[in-house]
Amino acid sequence: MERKDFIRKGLMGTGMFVASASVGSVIKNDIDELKELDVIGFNHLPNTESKVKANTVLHKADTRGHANHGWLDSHHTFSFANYYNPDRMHFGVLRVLNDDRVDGGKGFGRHPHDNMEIISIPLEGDLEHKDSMDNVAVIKHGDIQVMSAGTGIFHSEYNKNEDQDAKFLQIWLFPKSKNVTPRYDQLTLNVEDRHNNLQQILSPNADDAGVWINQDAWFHMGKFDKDFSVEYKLKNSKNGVYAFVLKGDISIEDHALNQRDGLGIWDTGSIAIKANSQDAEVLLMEVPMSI
Amino acid sequence: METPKVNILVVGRHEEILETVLRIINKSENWVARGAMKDEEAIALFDTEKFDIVLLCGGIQEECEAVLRETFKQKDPEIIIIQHYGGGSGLLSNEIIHALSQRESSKNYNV
Repeated sequence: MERKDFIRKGLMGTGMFVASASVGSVIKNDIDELKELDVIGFNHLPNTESKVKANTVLHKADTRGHANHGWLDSHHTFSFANYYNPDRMHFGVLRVLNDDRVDGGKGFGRHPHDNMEIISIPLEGDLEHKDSMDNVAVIKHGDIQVMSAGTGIFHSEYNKNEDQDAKFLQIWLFPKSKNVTPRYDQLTLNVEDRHNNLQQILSPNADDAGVWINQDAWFHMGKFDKDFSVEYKLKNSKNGVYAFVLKGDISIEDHALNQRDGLGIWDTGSIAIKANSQDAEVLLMEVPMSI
Repeated sequence: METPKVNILVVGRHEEILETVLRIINKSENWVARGAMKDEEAIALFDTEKFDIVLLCGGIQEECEAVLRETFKQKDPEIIIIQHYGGGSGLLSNEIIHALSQRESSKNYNV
């Protein structure tokens, strides 16, 4: 793994806007100014396939909230922006799991955050990041980006390429401690290390594999051959683990999962994972269950 | 008869974030917000207006938060006090709607 050198140019305020990928798109804050959308599709219909048992919750891909803003097409596993479902507020400290597609050259203009651990995982294309701590960087497939928003940070994220969509996961965790000093980091991971293996990409520890955050959480990614099976042992048995299928089909315990399905499990020390298709990919997020 | 707007007091230490939160809330047809960066200002506002919700943003130290919560609750036991996470972005409306719906559920439950 190789840590990237960030280009620090001291771009702030208006200067930062002008330097962004698409000047026309950054005049306004695209997040705050998102138009109210009508609730569409199945957002608020009961999920008849959900198996809410004593210690599991299943979120099928097509029961997620969906908002298509044109330049941004987003699926929300948990309530976010105009999508509100009181049964889908969070899984432990995991508050946001957005599956975003951003048009070429478009993106999220400069906007603020505080008191949240924000993790971005690009799946396709390149995202250009700029923030109020003078970080300017590009993240691409295989990278992971983390921001501890703490007392307050402003940032923008743009699709670096004009001619290609960018797809990425936007994940927010409630912080372990409020009002920490804001921090940005990103890391290029060796994607080969996750072939038939659970590659750790995030932890609470600065000297451990992957990026670190202000929360007792561990993330792993795996890419498996068909019929490959592996056990994930939780670092802390009081935590829960939320599995999100990035590609293909997998089983976790007795649950058959397909692409973009999510399954949360708690009150367990380990989970058994099996790939039901070739090159199945999964993201595991182990998180504290209490906020 | 016009339904009164939900009145929200926002307390935060970061000026730009506070402005963003106020702007987002005030864009809503059903909500109206006023903000304060200092605790004394917040308490003074609370004394002059009837608020439905107090939204605590980032940067408020634990001790100050405890004093604010206690003061607001003493002055109005019905007040909803919520911690805002994320700094004015995707969670804001969710937090307000969720708090209001919980208050409604609890009213119905008590009936």
